[in-house]
Amino acid sequence: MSFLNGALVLGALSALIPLVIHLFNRNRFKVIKWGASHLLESVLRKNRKQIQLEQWIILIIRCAIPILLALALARMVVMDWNSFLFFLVLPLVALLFLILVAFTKKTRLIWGLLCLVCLLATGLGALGFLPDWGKDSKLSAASGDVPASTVILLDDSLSMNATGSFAKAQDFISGFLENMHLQSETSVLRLGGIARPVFDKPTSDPDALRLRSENLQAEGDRMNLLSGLDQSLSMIAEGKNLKREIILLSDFRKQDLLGWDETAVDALRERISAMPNSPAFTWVDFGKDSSENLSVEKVVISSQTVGIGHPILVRVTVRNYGQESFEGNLQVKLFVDQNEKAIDEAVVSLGPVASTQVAFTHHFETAGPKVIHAEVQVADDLPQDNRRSAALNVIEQIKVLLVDGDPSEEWLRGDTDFLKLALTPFEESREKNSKKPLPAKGEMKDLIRAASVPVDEFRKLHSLSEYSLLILANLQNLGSEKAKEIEVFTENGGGVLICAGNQMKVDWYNDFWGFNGSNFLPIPLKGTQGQLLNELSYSKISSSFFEHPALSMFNDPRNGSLAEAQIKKWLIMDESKVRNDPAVTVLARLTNGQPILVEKKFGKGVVMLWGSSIDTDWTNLPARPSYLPFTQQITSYLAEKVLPPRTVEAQMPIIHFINEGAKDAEYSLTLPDGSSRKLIPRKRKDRYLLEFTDTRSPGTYLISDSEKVVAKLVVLSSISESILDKAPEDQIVSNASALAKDVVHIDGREGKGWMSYLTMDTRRKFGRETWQILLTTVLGLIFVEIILLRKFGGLVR
Amino acid sequence: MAHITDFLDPGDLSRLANHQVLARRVVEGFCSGLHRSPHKGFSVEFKQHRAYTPGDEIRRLDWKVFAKTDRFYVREYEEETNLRCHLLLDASGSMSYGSDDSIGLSKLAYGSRIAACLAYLCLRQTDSVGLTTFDSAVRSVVPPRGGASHTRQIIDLLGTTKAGSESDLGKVFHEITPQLKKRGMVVIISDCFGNIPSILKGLAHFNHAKHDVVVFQVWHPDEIEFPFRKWTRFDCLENADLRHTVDPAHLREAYLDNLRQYREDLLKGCHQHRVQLFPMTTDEPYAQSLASFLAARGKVGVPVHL
Repeated sequence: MSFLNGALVLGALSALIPLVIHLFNRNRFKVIKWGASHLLESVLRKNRKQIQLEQWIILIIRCAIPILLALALARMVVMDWNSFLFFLVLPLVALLFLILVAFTKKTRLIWGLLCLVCLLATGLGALGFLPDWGKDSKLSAASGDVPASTVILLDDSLSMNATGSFAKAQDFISGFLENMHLQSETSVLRLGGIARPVFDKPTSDPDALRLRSENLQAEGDRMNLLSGLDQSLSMIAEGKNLKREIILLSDFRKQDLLGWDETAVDALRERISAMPNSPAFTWVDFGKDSSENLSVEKVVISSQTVGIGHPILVRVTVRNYGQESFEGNLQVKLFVDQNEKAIDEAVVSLGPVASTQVAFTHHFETAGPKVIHAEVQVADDLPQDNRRSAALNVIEQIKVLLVDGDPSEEWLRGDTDFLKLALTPFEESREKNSKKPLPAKGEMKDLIRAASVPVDEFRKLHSLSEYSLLILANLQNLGSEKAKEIEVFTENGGGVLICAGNQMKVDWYNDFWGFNGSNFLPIPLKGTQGQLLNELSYSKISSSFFEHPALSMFNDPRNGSLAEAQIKKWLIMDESKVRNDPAVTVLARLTNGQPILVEKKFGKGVVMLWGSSIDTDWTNLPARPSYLPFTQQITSYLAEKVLPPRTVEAQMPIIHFINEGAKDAEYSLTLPDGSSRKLIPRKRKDRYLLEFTDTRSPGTYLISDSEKVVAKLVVLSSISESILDKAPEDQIVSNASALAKDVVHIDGREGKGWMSYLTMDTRRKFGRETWQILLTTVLGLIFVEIILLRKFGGLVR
Repeated sequence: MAHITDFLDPGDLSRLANHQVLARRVVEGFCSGLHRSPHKGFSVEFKQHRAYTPGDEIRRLDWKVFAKTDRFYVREYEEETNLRCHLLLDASGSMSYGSDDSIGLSKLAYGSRIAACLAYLCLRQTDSVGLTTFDSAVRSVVPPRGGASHTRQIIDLLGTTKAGSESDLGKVFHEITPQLKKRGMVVIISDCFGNIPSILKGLAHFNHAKHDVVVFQVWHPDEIEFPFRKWTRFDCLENADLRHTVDPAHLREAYLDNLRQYREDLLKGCHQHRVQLFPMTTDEPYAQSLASFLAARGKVGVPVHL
């Protein structure tokens, strides 16, 4: 016995209402001083027991009505004759006998005994002392005639494409939907990656569901069976039908059953066994043995932002999961953007169960978002994983203005010379070697175009608007007009890097840009610390974990370490005054804890303060290998900030930053299947971005405004799906039995899954709903109560 | 001190003024009135001849008949005597029912008015009236007397009568019968609750003593209709220990059946003993009930009962 709307069983408590009313009335009686007591007395004397019996019967009926009504509303289900007999038939028969006791004189003893027997049988049956008679004879029509609530868990992971498993699974769904009972409700839950239903709610419209299911593609990530089961249990718990079933259609690869969380399995098993009407489980296996598979495992590009003409290195890893051997006949091709002609190709050898790498170099001639695809040209069991992509952005140059506070005619003596060299290495080498011609179109050149000016010239400069970044190296001071101009430049989105040096007048910076001035300076300065002459007196940058994106590359030791540089002299910064300012961030500290690199958001731009010199005056950082990536990173961060990744794994959100000026444009996203969505720019912290989280399908996602494509992003499928090893039968069975008992396994590998299911289903039986019986009983009891109220009172005189 | 207007409304009195209390049976009296007397006198109207039996007065022999027939016959005359009316008012506990309802007239109060009314009528037609109140025993007695001043005593007793304890009508009737020395009319005003055979035996005793017996059975409408619906505790008026908490709706039919049977038995018994039973309910005006009784009584031989 179970209930489809379990909570409504509590409604049975309303049986207390007639009881309370009865007791209440008994306690709130009227007192009458009565004369004709002898007339009443004789009636009472002769009928006391009869009256009590009649009142008991009425009370029992009145209490039984709300109980039965609550059970009907809770949709009580009896699974077998046993519970039907003990919990419904016998109590009602006992009541009938009790009524007969009230109406008969001579035979009342017999009826009373029968009533007692019925009650005794009910009690003993409920406590389990009686044999489970009728437990095996299920109360149900054949399964096919019963409306069902079904959740079909469809494994739409990439591996289902191998050996036509997915098409067979779709055939199964079509067959199921064609034979669906009119009142049945069915959900299809896609299991690849994050489990997601095809329709938000179960549907009774098989045609709509079939149409959607036939158009599904198997391109999801690894099947997440446990989370899918969890979700399907929630869905099935709300099912309105008695027959409940969860059907899993999968190819059961080894990968699918790997790493099952024991506690999650236990929790699921307990949840299933605790369900009042737990669903039946059927697992249909569509996965044939297949081992011949090659895949492009990885496509790594050297940078996701590249300048025009700069070579981009593409490293392609190809893996062979099968036993076939390729002796110099495996073709790997490189494509750009659409499937046009291959831009490059290579032929490699690859042994069985091995991987190899192919490197390609390419340079782009035009700016804009690009996608590179690498494809291995081979016919294998799973062709869908033979191609893999990566997205990148090809940009024009970043213009940077370097202002030298202490210029020098001698090379590398000026304050910005090291910096310029680090930022524009190609140009610098060409200047030194003047025979080298200027780069042709599409040829490699510096990503950054830096112009260095002495401070006097800078004072005369009219406009800063053509530059993205301004680096003030060792400036003594500036005229108030120029200082204001720099503030406006930053407010409008420009970046400013202030570097210290011997020329720098700390007081001017504090007075003019400090708290008492325009508050442009990231942090108040208190002078300088350190000795240049003492070789042994220096500090270092603390090599802690850098949270800031501009320095995060130094968390990887392969990119060099900032801590190897000696800082001999530095500015003392008063951190206490900006501790609560959310606009100020300390990027790096010295080993003594003092800040050395501080940034402050100012208007739409950022101003950053480097506490030491940017040349070799105060530090030997420019002579270290980390100087170049350090300056490049800081410069690109300040010039255009750090960009989110353009190539992500499936189900990771794709994000594209946009400028504030472009926030009002209309953006649309084109999905790999060609459908398009509207994207609305959102403001997160201080920047506007476009975000899309439903990256279930792998492929290229295009973000376009009304005119052109502004970004291309690539979502990659999981590489684990390329491993097509079939899970052993006994593992599938043991995993199934760990979740629930009586899981039915059907072999659908030969395309006969649906027929086998149908044969199995016609033999099954489910319990029976009793609400019609209960409702009829309630109506009957109301009728009986009315009759009894009229009949009772005909007492003995 | 009670006054007659406490019991009788002048309007009601005027309504009854034209009725006379007539004993249907011949009753004894010592002064002439409206009633026939079984005593054969000298002067009045000749009634019949009767064969002489030893002990008869010689002077009452009709010598003319002796001369004609050579047999002794005695002359008998009919004499009109005055009525001796004995009012017996039941003052048991059950008679107090109805004092606290909307009508506001308990059965005892109603019976008192009937008694006062009859006493007034009898005294007005120069008959003599006595009043006895009782419950399980005789409580107070006003012996029968004539004369207008006797009203005062009757009214005083009615004024002081309060409902008492249990009743035992049969026993009380047996107790009262020997005290009524002369034949007359016995008017019993009671609800007649009790053991019917015992009551009937008491009534038979009156009958045996040649009294003309009339029973005014006073009912309260509640007792006839049993209109209660909610849970009720019925506290017995005569026995404080007797209490029943019941659902009256459930009992009504059985009660009404019981009531009908009881009334039938009582009526049948009264008929057998030639006792006139006149049921009345406290919701009908007593003057009207009494008037209809008296009107029916005026026509001799017509049984008066509902």
